[in-house]
Amino acid sequence: MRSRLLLLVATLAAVAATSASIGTQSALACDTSFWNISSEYYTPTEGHTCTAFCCSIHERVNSTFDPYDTVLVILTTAGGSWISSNTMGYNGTTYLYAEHTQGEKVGCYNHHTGTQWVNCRHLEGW
Amino acid sequence: MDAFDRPKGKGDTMRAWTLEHRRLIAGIVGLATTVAVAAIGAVVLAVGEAGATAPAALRPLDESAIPEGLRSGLTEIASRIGIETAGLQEVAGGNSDASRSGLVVGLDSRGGEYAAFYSPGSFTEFSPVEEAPKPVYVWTSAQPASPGGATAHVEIAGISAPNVSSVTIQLSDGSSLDAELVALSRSGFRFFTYQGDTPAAFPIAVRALRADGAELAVRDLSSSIAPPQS
Repeated sequence: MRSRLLLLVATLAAVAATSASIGTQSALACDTSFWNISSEYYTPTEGHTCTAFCCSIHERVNSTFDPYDTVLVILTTAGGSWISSNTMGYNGTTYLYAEHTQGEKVGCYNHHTGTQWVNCRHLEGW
Repeated sequence: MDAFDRPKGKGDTMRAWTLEHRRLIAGIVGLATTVAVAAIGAVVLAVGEAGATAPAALRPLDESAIPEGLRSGLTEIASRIGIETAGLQEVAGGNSDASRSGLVVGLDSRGGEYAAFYSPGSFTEFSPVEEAPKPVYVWTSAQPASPGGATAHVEIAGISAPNVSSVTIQLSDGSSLDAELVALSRSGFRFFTYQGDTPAAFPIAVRALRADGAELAVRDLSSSIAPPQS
């Protein structure tokens, strides 16, 4: 009985440790949700970004939104200065080849004149 | 009695006919000259208009000038969704050696047609061309000369639907270009590309026209090429 209790405690500890490591990695991606950059209304000329994943030059951004037919995928410096932007269609994915290691950020931007709901996430690698 | 009042004999009639004949011939020659000059002018103008194009050309991806990093990424993504990578083609601008943006198009084993847009440092996924918004779909990409600066480079590429006869690209200086449309298959979908590196040459709108000249759609690009507000 005691050995089973120890096994359960060990298992829970392992699960907790694993969760912590995932949590740390996800924290770099802004949050732990599926839409790890944002899931909210964007007013006109509003954008949200997260620091690019560590140690990779390959990053991709995916987004769904409503009611407009595009968003901009943006790449900025760590301080938020614009480096590039690309239009992307609904539930599209843009692959970024970013040879940057200075804390650059990726994200989504509403370039329309009205507010729209934007779900935005980034993923590591191609 | 002057010459005009004098009764006319046979000789007078002949002289009068000859005079009228000469005048008629002179008139015809003058008219023909005018028509010829007008026709030459029209041809010159037409040639001038035809010269204002945004060229595009297909060539195998293996022979393209796309940077190796992007090219390998495009090939990898294409293979994941069943596109025959050996048949991938680049739709590049006319001076394709200097082209830094455009489309990569390909077919899957069932003949399904796909397109991905590439620009400096990025590319999109491959999407079925028949799912692109109709009658014309336009991707844009823009970059500043240095981080945070004004727009310095703009690249666009697009897909026109089968009912589109021609596509024009309006530039910010008020002029416009006829986009050269190239096809990968007989699907009727065609592709174009353009890049501008000066403010006057930035594309601000794309128009899709029917064969009779009727406008099918206008895509305003101005907000998508403007620098995002930080």
